[in-house]
Amino acid sequence: MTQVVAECSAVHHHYGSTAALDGIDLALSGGKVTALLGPNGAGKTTLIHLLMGVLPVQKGRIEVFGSLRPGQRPAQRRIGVMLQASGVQNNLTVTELLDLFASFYPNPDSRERLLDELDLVELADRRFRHLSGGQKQRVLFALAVVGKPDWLILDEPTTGLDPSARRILWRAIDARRQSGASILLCTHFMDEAQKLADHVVVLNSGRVLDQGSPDAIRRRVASERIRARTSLSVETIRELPSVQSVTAGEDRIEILSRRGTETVRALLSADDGVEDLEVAAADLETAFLTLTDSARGAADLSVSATTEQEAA
Amino acid sequence: MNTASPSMQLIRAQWLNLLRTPDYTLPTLLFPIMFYVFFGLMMMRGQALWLLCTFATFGVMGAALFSFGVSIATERAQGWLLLLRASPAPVNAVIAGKAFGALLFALVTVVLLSALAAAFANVRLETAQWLGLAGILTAGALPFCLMGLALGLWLRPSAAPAVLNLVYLPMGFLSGLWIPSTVFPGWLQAVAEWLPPYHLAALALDIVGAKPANWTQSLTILAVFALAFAVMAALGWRRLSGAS
Amino acid sequence: MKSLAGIVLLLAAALATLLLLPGPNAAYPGMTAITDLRLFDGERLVDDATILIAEGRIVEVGSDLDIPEDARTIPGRGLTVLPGLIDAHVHAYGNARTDALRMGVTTMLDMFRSPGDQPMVIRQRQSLKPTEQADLFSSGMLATAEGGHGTQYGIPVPIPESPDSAGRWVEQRLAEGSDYIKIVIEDGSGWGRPLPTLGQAMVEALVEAAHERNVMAVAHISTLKDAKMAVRAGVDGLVHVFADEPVDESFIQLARNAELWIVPTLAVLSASHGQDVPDWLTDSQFTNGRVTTRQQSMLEMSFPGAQMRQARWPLVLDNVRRLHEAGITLLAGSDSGNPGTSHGPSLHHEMALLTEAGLSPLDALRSATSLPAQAFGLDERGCLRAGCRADLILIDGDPRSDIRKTIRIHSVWKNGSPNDRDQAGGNDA
Repeated sequence: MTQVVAECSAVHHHYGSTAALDGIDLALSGGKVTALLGPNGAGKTTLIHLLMGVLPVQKGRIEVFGSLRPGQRPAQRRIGVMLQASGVQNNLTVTELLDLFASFYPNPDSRERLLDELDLVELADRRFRHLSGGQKQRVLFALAVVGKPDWLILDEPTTGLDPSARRILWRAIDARRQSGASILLCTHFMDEAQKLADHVVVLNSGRVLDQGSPDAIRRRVASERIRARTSLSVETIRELPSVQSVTAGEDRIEILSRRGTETVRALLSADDGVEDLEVAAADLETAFLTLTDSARGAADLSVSATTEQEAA
Repeated sequence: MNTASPSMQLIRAQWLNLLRTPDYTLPTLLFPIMFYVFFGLMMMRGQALWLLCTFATFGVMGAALFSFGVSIATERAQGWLLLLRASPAPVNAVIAGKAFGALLFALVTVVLLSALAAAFANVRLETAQWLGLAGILTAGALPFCLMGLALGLWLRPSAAPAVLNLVYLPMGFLSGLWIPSTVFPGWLQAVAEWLPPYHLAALALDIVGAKPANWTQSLTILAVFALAFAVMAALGWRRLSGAS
Repeated sequence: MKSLAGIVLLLAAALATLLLLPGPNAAYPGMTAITDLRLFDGERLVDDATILIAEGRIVEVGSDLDIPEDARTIPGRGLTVLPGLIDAHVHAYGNARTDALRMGVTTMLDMFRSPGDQPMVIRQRQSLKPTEQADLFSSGMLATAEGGHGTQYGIPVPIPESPDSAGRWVEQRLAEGSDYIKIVIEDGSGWGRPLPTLGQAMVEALVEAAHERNVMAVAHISTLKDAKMAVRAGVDGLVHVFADEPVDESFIQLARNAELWIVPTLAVLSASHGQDVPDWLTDSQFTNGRVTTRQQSMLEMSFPGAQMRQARWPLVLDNVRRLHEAGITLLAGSDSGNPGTSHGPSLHHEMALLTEAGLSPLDALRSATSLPAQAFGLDERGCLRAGCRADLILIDGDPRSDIRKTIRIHSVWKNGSPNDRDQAGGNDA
């Protein structure tokens, strides 16, 4: 499928006096995994709810599957949704929930197959309230895909999951992409976006800040956070390769780096007394915080782009 | 694989939920039954037929308010309603599922009380009267379903049980469901005659032959009440859709 | 775990239960004959009688009756049959009607109760279907002064405002289903506590309004003075005898001319005048299974201030004696529902007390059967003739010799069916 699965034109949305979306123009192509990245409050949830049809469009236009509008039954039949921290009737068993949702769709998937795919077979008769957080999320995913949707909308699907559960979901998502479904994935994990997405849309303050392939975006945003105790000064560290920003913490320095390994290598060779070294995936929120630091925001972007081009 | 229709599945889900939350299904069911056993069977057996009608009304009211009110408020908070709204589940089927659960709950209450009255207080009615009693009270649960729906859509889930109890118990008492309103002082009797449960009980009392009722008046009051809460529910639903 | 099938099953169970819930008790379809009875028909007592009952009524009464072959026959040897008793002054609440019926009181004349279920009460007493409750006639709400006697029971009583509004007040009572109007004249002087009370003009207006609408007006009094006022105002009867002064000739004249009847309510007066409940009334041999614990405790309750009035008890009995000797109609009524009384036994006590005041046993029986029926126009009650309701009480023994024998109940029949406690054929007491 190469057609456009959803199109937003000049979409604005506000809650009371707060603007949540400030003019979104977006076209989501079919047959791809699109990751929607953005810090909390960026407007991701609002956008998703508008696309799902549970919020009415206040200003602008949204069309799905060509000419349908969100919320219309023919559209909903082709969409599967997994919401963040969603609840269900806690007293129903996994099987009962699946059967319930399966009944909403014209051509549902096989329950047995789904249970097997998501490693829920042993939990089939357990009530939802008695599942762990991770197990609940796998069930919610199952509810999202039971209808064999053409378009799957997932809001933070792997938050809080252990690595093996995460892998199960990633495999399931990929399987659907391979069979031609379109997937919209909200996440704040760079590695997840990197691994799954064909296309990334970056949202901030209700606007599309950027979009492109994962690699292209990655290069524009810091992706790793390094903490260490070092005798080097902040100014010195700022000059190290791929360093995005440096802040002095209580006893450690915190470095945001575009390519963590490069920075670490340089740091170690510059100070062989480095201690308490910690490297972690920078979450997007931290990265964006530095980006939106007014003195550096746009300038930083262009500087880094230039640097990359020069390096390339 | 289960191929039942969404309506059937939703009804089933609602019913399973009722069965599996005995913490509050049981009290809602047992409360009027206990009251009836105490007042109608033990203390005032001579009034057993009258009290059957009034306590059954009370029970039906409770069944409707709690199946709808508390569950909707909770499900709202859980995000269940959001998930359902995003799915192709028809909204009517969702509401119908709940209504059916409430009506069935109401029917069970009435049947239980009737059986107690027949077995222990020698209450004897024509078959048509037994069926009529069950029918009018089950149908009469609908206005209270709407009331529960409206309150559930507007109240916070933490507040819902308290507010519903605050409405349910005094309204039941003031409508003369526990003590016949004929022993109230005049001004209080006048209050009772504006309350919907009073009128539902009045219809039940007419069917069993205890006291003739003004059907036009009672049905009108019940209808107005139902309409008012239907509007409130619709507005609550709109508010929900407008600002999740 | 329930599936859809479970829901359907539940619905089916509910429907089945509803369809199988019992319908009204069916009367014995054929004829019932009770033979070899001593029979008191409301007026006189004859030996060796047979009663034929069908469809809730007495078909025939006589000595040598032809009993149809398919009739069920119950031997009455040694038993006396009386018309179901009429208690001419009660307050029926709670289980009163059921309790009273078990003791042979088949009709009750209530003198103050909430009229809420009056339509049902009326329908029940018009029916001949088997029932476990005594039939009830009622005054509904009583007429009293603001804050007067009757307002202390926690039931809001509509107060007649002025003689001009008497008509409307009476109409409201009739709309509620009242069978007669009860007027309270009580200034508390007989009880040592002053109370507001209706004035003469009000009483006259109420009586007139009642009579205009073809219903009787009865009065509560407790003093001779008020009794005279009531009679002069035109009331049809008094539902207590006065206990403050001896009856005088002028009252007797008034009463005779007005053809007044009086319900002495000696049962409650004995309680309020410090008299003990006699042992024979509470003999468990006769009360077992007929008198509930609750009724018994009510009988044992002491009436406030009873000791103070004990000395006046002989006066009460004496008044009744003189009224009887003067030919004033006396009706048996217990005022049950008050401390020291109970629904059922107290009417038997009342009859015994009437004999203590000089009535013969047969007189006492008349006061509980034909006389109240005549006074209140209850055609088919208090009698045992063809056409009367088959409301009867079968006594073990002959009450002519000792009125207290009435407590030895063999069985009670209402609308031609034996009381639940008795079943067909009576108990084996």
